[in-house]
Amino acid sequence: MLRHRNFAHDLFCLTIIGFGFFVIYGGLELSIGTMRRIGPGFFPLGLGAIMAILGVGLLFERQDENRDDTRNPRGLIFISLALAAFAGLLETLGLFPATAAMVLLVVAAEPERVSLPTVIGLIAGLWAVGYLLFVVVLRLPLQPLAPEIWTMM
Amino acid sequence: MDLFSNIALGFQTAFTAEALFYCFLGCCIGTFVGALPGIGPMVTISVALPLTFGLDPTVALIMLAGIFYGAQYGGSISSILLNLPGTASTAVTALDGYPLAQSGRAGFALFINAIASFCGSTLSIIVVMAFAPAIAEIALRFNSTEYFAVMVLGLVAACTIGGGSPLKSLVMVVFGLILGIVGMDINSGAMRYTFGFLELTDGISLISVAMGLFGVAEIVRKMAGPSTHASKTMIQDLSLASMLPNREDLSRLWLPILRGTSIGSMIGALPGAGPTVASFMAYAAEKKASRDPGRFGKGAPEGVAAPEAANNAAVQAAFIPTLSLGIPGDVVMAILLGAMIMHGVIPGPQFIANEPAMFWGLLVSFWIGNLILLFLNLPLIGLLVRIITVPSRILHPVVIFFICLGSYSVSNNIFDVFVTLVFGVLGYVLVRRGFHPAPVLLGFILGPMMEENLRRSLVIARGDPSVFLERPASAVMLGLAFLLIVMPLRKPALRFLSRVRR
Repeated sequence: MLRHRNFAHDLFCLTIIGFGFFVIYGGLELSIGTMRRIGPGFFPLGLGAIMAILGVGLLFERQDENRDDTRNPRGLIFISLALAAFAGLLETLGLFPATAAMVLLVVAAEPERVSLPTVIGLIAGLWAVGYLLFVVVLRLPLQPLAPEIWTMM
Repeated sequence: MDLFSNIALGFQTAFTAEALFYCFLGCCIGTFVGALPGIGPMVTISVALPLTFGLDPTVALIMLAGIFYGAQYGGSISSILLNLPGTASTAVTALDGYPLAQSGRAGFALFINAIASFCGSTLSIIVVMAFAPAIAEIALRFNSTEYFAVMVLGLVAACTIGGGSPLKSLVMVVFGLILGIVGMDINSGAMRYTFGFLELTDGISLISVAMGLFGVAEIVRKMAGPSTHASKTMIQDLSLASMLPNREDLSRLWLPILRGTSIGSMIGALPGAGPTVASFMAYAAEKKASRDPGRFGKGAPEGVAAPEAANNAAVQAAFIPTLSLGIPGDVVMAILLGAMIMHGVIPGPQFIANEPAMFWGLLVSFWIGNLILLFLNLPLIGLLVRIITVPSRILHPVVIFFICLGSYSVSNNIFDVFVTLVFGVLGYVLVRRGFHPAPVLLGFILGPMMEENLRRSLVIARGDPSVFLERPASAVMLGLAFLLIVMPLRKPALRFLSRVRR
């Protein structure tokens, strides 16, 4: 009884099963308690077990062929970098440098080229929105430019 | 208190200057983002949620809800004019709305959309007013055992009713439940799955999960698709005069609107079957009811009216389980429920009794909001069209910017931005593998409540788990949940068995 097997799907199912066992392991590290007084590990233990069982069930599920096939590894990498750069620069260099870096990386993720004036306009516009909305109105503890920059210069 | 004094109380709450202003603001934002293909109401509500922390909880909810139903109005505008649904629930509208626009009746199609949406919403609000308090009254008699069973049933129903693979949806729900565990256990003080990150003590940020799974992942996927340059051909004469239907049109449309509304209010109240399913069902029903089904797909006005009435009715009806039981029917409701919790309001059957001003104020604000939308949509069409045509290369950085600062502003911590990043990558991988991450949020919101009710039930039953089957209401609900799981498994299991026997 040969059946066409989808390797990527099987691997993902195994990941799900593995995740289930990982949650079970984490639950066992915590106290399970008794049935009368369940401990912090009880609920996770049950969920981990259900997860593992569902993962096994998925191995036997017939996969429909017409699923969405949008792939965009390049976009994923650049957008991830954009978020990481924003997070990394926000409190070290300040809101403005973080915004500029983020915009540049998102623009780099686009499949088409974006013109320089558009990029500059975007950065300037977001600086204004970021400063007025988040710093002035909502009073987030952010600085447009971190004072450390000035001491560095 | 009778219905009328309650509605009067609602008007008192919703008619303050502050509430009216934020209702208006929410509706406007909703219409705009709904019209923009690519950003849904979900991402917008997640971004707006931290911005409402300073507001009164009722006003905050009025605004956030306004974004949700406003987006339904806006979404159909891009469906009709661009053949490009702004939100999933308005995809069906494009089937007949776009041909109508192509034949030069864009204004008329937009008018039907606005009127049908308005009728669907306003009638459905009455259904909510009638049913939500009644259901809450019954649910007040529940103890933790039944409440646990309701949540199991709600989650299972959300996975099995909506279509797609129920098994995959169940995996997503359980994943969400597991994510909900992360953080400090309120009973024992034990740290669970925090891996030494102090930032995770209060759990994973709902906003980060939502914006990562839906916002970030969606933008990555959108970039791979064709860029959304709207053709300006459709945007011809959109004067008010071109919109008005003649008497014959009107007499032909009120039945489809009523049918769409009833389908929408029923479907919307079910967990898992939101406005999208409702609009598809209404369209199918209308085609069946029509004497001349051949017209559908070629610009039949009924094909716009029925699904638009249905998706707006469904949006309102989705508030029934959310407000009366504290159980969200779909993802947007899950976020709104999260918003309530963040604002210190405890959802559940006691909500309507404890916070009557908030409940009735919210419902009355829906009426006001829909009225605003009706008048906002028609004259502002020209402006909206210009906004729809903003190219995606400008839109994407702006959305990522709001996602970054939105997740940061929840607790002023860059850790949450990294969490958003992780969930963005995860959301991309999940969709690639055919998993739709919507149920994750349902599980995430309900997880802590489920555990607490399970714990209490077992304490009351002195550790005997058979209590869940001994109490009749709980037994019925768990039985239903069991049936919902087993039914779709029947066929594959039979296939498997016959293969094993051979």
